Amino acid sequence: MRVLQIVKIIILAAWAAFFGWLVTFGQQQLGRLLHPSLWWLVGAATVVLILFLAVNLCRQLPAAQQGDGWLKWPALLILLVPLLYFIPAQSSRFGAETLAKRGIQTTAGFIPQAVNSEAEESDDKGYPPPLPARKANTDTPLTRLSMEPQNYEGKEVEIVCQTFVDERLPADLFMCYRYLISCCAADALPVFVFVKYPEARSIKSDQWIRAKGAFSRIENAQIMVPSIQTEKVEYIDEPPFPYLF
Amino acid sequence: MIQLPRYQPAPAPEEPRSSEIIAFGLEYAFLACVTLFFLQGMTPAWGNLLGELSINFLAIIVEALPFMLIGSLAGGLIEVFIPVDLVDRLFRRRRTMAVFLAGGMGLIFPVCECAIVPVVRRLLGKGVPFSAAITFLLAGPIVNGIVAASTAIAYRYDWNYVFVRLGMGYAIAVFIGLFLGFFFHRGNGLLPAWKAAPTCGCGHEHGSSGQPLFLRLRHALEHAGDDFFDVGRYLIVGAFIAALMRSTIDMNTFLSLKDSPWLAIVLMMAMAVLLNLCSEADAFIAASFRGLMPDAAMMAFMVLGPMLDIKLILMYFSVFRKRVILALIGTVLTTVLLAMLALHSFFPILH
Repeated sequence: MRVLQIVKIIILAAWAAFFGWLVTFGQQQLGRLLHPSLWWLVGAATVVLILFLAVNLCRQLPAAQQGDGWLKWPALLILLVPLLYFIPAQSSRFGAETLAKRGIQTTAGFIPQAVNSEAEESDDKGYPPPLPARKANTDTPLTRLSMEPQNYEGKEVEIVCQTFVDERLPADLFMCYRYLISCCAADALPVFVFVKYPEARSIKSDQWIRAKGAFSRIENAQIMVPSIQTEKVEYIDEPPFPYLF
Repeated sequence: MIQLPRYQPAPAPEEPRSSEIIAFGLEYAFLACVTLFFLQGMTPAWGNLLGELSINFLAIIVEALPFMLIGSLAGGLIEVFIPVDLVDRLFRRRRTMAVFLAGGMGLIFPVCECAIVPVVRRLLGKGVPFSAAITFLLAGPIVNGIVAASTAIAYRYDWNYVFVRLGMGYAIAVFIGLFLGFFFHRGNGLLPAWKAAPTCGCGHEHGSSGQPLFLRLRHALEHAGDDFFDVGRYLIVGAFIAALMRSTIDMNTFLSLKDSPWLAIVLMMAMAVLLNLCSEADAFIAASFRGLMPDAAMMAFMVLGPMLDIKLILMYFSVFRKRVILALIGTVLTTVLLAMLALHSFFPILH
């Protein structure tokens, strides 16, 4: 068996092992890369790679049909590049820098772009008067708050999200965001709410928090955006699946 | 005991061609760049960029590579199980009709752009005419049920967007297929390995049903495995460039020029080429610009992306000659731009 064929077998085995690990023991890492509804793809790819590996193990190519070995080495090594970059990917996170690039900003502030909030069509303007809290929802998804704000108006909600403190905002306001993915992390878009909190400036950016408070909508950049008013912010560990799906 | 024929790749040329040496140089340069960038990323100043790029890169690969593997497998099965005379009856005898048929084939065989190239390679190897193959290549990742569903969801079941996207994708692909068919054919458009229809050069007739099923499946897997090694590297280089773009380009850059419709269309086309998003996900990105960009600009993003992006252009090098790729890029860009300007000016259905 020639060296190049052995290298091909190693590449196939490495990818089969990587994909197999992702769908079994590495689901937390897979959750940071791919929407759960597409995990079957990784499982299917594992099966295909194992089949390719099996036929390559049984295959015997005459030397003349393998071509110039030195010309093929870079092409084969390129197939291993993603596995190298998986090392930093494991400990990396999308943070405030990503938010600044992926969130559409105007001079007046951010526009919530990941969901087409019907709040844009609302005729509510300005800060609504504080409403009495009615009923608590445990860890209300930010997508629901953005898409159906009218259902939560005045209710007490609990959110889990990452912080972003922007100096352009009033001193008692910070943003709390999570990323919504449609297929994979490359298409992740931020969804956020504003948090009205007296000590907003003491909050550090890129921290996971849990906050509970009355939900309302405020005007930002001439559109209505979701917000909560709270007296208490609790720092927490990153959730096992940080994205919204 | 009967000696069964076994699949063997065509013998490699004794002397490397100049194109192979150039490819070697480019691949070596890519490897050097990604290694240097990886090492540079270990320093605090570059750490954030390396982290973001790594997530984007791995995410694209983990999503796209399975599609490419499934596409390779489908290509291998086509190679072994689709008889040449069937392809001849369906496509080669009715060339113009074949183009219109190929434009809608994605409705029956839904494939995304990562899977389409290995499938098209094998279809060409089976003798599918050049113009029909180009049409399927361009239309397949748009004109299919999965893309229709994702577009409908992204645009909150506003079916105008769905019908216009699929309709424009079909019309543009058919037009380009017919147009390029005037200038190119299998003989002057394809790399040597794919133009010698109807056999793959492996020394036996795959369409024959005389061989045992196990052996035919094994041949299919060997073909498919070879496709993975041939096309996979283009996907990885393209995904890396896409991840780099995704990690560095600020979405706000595009907003500053939104007031001019034609400029907005050009910018969204540029973004479609640079971001390399999957055709099943790009509608969600496009929809995020609703109200901020003209509808024709969003449509340009959704129609062009599945036809032409960096990773696709690189993957085209595994099947087409350079002159075809240049003509394809020019024709696709021009046609999409003109179609979207016409959409903006004459069909304000989306406004």
